[in-house]
Amino acid sequence: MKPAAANSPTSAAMTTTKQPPPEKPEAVRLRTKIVLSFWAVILLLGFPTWWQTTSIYRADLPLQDMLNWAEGLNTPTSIPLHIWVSAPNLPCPDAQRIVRETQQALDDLNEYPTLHQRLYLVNWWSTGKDNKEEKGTPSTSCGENPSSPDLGDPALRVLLEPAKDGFAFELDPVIAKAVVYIPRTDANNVSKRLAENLHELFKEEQVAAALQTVALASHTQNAQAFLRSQPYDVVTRIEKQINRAYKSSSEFHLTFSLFTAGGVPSSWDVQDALSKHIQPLVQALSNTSEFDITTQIQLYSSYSPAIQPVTKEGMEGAFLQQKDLTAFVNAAEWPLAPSIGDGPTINFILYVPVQDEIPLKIDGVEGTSWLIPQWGGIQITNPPLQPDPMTGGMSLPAHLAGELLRQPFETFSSQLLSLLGVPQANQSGKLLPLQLRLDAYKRFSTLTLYLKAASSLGSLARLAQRLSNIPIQKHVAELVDDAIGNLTAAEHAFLESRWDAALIHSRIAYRDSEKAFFDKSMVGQVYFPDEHKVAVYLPLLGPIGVPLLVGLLREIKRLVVRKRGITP
Amino acid sequence: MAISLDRQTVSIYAGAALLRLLVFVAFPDLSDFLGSQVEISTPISSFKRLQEGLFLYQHGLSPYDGGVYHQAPLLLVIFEILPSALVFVALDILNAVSLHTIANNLDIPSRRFRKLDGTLIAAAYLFNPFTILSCLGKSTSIFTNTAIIQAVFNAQSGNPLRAMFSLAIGTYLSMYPGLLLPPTLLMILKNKDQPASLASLVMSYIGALAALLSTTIILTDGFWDFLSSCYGAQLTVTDLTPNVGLWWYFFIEIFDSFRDFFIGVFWLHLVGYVGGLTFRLQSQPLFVITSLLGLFAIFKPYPSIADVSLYLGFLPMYSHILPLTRYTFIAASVLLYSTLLGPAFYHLWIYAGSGNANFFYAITLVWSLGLTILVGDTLFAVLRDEWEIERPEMKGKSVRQI
Repeated sequence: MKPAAANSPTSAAMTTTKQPPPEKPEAVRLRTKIVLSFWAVILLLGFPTWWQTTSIYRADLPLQDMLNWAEGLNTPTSIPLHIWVSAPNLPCPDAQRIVRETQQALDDLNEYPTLHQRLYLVNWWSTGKDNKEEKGTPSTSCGENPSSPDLGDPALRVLLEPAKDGFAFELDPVIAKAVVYIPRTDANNVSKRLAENLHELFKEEQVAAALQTVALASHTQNAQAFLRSQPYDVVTRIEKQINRAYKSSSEFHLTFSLFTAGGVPSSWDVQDALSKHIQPLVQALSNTSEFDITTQIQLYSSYSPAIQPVTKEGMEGAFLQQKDLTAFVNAAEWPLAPSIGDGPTINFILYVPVQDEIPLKIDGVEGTSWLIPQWGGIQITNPPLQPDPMTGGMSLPAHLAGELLRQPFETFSSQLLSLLGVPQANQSGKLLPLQLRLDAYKRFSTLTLYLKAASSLGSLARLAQRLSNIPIQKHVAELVDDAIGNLTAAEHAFLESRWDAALIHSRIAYRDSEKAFFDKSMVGQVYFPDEHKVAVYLPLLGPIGVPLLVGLLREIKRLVVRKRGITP
Repeated sequence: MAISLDRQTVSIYAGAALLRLLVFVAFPDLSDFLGSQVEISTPISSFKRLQEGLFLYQHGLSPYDGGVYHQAPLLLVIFEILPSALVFVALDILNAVSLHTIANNLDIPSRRFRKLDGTLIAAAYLFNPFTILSCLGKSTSIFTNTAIIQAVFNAQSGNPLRAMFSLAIGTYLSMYPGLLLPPTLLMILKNKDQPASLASLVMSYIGALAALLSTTIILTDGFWDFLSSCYGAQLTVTDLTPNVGLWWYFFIEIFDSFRDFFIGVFWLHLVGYVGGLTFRLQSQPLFVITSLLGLFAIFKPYPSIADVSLYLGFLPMYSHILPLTRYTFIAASVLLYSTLLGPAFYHLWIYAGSGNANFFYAITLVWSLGLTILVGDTLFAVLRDEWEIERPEMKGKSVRQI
């Protein structure tokens, strides 16, 4: 419209057949000026603006480094698991010999370097000597000083004790400690049996670590070979366990909900139950992840209407079909937040049925609780009916007292452990000491976060290589540098078996790498192919660009013609 | 300002002032209601936001805290001292008086031109519903309008320094009047009575602008806060509250990565008209200013009907070209139609919930289309008029663009 308005009168002609009179020279000059004024704005202001606003800032990323991390070129060659052995009541040479031979036997049993047990003769017993009255010979200071920095954190402390009768391997029921009774005779066999016991103790952890390595890293021949050497059913069982659990995260939200189908019960002693059953676990897990806990009570919140419990002849109460259990959660009506804050939410639901359905049971199964993988746990409770003073009949209690909550919350606490991926009973069905299980969880979670951080760095590097037109902001590069620094620190910690330090660094590395990968400034551009730019520029090129360009071309043509007219 | 005070003139001014004061006193709610209409008050001209800034200012805080206030700090001083209703009525009267004088002294070299009656021009401004509504809605755009009218008035009456100062005030208040500098300079330089050099005029403009900006340092602590909230808000269009303009919807929809680029394009689009129009219509700088005001009312970042009222204040001075226009009926009906449908569609969208944003945006497009037709048509008529002066034998013949 602009040039048209500017040009129209000067180039206007009559509708008659007469030729328009030639333009006056001043009119021509004026038109040149007008065209030039538009082009001056475009060239002097427009192009700098275009250059400035559409140039893409790409910070330098250490791409090769990032890819190396993801490919596993930088992963430690071995992640040892330190075991401290102390033998205050054995002669020092004997103890040294047993440790050496056991180590050899261990190495023969298993060559997979991740979480490979390494024995150290450490003089740790002397520190705890005052509390325990030792008898017999005073301990020779045999072995290294426990405060030595090379020793790292012990995964297990083993106390060797001389014994009259046969070999025995006894685990402490709570903490990560074992007492081994060594018969004076048959010394060779002792090392072998000790090695077998230790190997058995950590084998599942090794399998889990290998599975996670296969899932997340790219150079995994070692891990795959190791998994092939293990019995198939063990591997599948542990795989199932991993799949049931939430992905490792540095933050979890636990939501405990009481859903009652009717109006009662309307209160529960949840604080007591939490502090008795859940808090100790949360406390013990607090160095691995942060947990916050919320509770809620919802009345008149029945299970999904799709479910029809059945009644059986001669049995009171109602029965849920087993196939209905997955559909039990009433997602439409139960206010279960999908996620609060950063970490995932684990839901625990205590369900009280209406009075007619009490007791509500599951058809064909003894218990009334079940677990939904990567979501949470559900527990149906059938509180005993009480005489109602108002009507004289029997009714549900208005308040769920602590005693009624004991069994459900014990279930919840074991469900929490399995939802987090804390190892349960081992192959032989024996429950390991809690400390060992929690430590195993910590190590597994450290390794997972470490591998995930490395793999998301690799994804980011590939993304940056593939899409040359996404902007990479400075803070993304800083996050990447930070993640790499923390991964390196974690790697050193792995080599020295310092798990607490490794966990801290892996967590930071994971958080930073995820933040860098999902940075808002990049995500928008990922889905913006170059073809779309045509659509963005077309309105400019069409209605505005064409008249301006035509005006400019006409002026140039006129200048050329005039020059030709003058020169010959 | 020599205005003959006959009975007609006095009654027009008194009537306009009384009408406004009466509404302010008798229906205070109406003023508040109008002040919250998106067509009248935009983020950079809302009186409500000014009161927020004033409250902060009176309590010793920076008026720009909270990110609500986007106007110049000098306005705070004015409203701290004076009652707001009187200020708005007085400014409207002042604008009318200035337009009155401009019209009285106007002489356009055209055979169609007849000496104008300034009283009618003033009446057309004062009783224009857009002017009345924006005055009652207390849109602070009126300060910018006053500055522009004063600049034109002083440029015409041979006070180049005052004209430059007025234009600097306009620029200080809302930035876009700075684009009127070339036609205003042209107007001053064409006025042979008082010779003035281009350099000294530009220097005085820059000096006045710098002085006004430096008052901010005295009034508030945060000079950068002022720059980013007052001019930054207009330059980067951070507040996408709907208004009658074309920017808000576009910048809601545009891809984030192209946002900066298109803000540049939209601003350069505004800048682009200045050079071309000034060159083409050198002989009539007042019409350059008028047309630019019309274009600003369509294409500036936060337009309101106050900007249209300013354009329609100047336009009647060119009533002699009316016979040469072709689409005035269409333009007038489109403007009327969108004036009535705009608030209705906004109500449907925001309050009734039975419409969506596209309803209101469509009607603002129609509104802009109406204004564009009006600007284009008058521009055509003035050029045709010029051509007829050049070639009198063509009078009355139809033309064809080639």
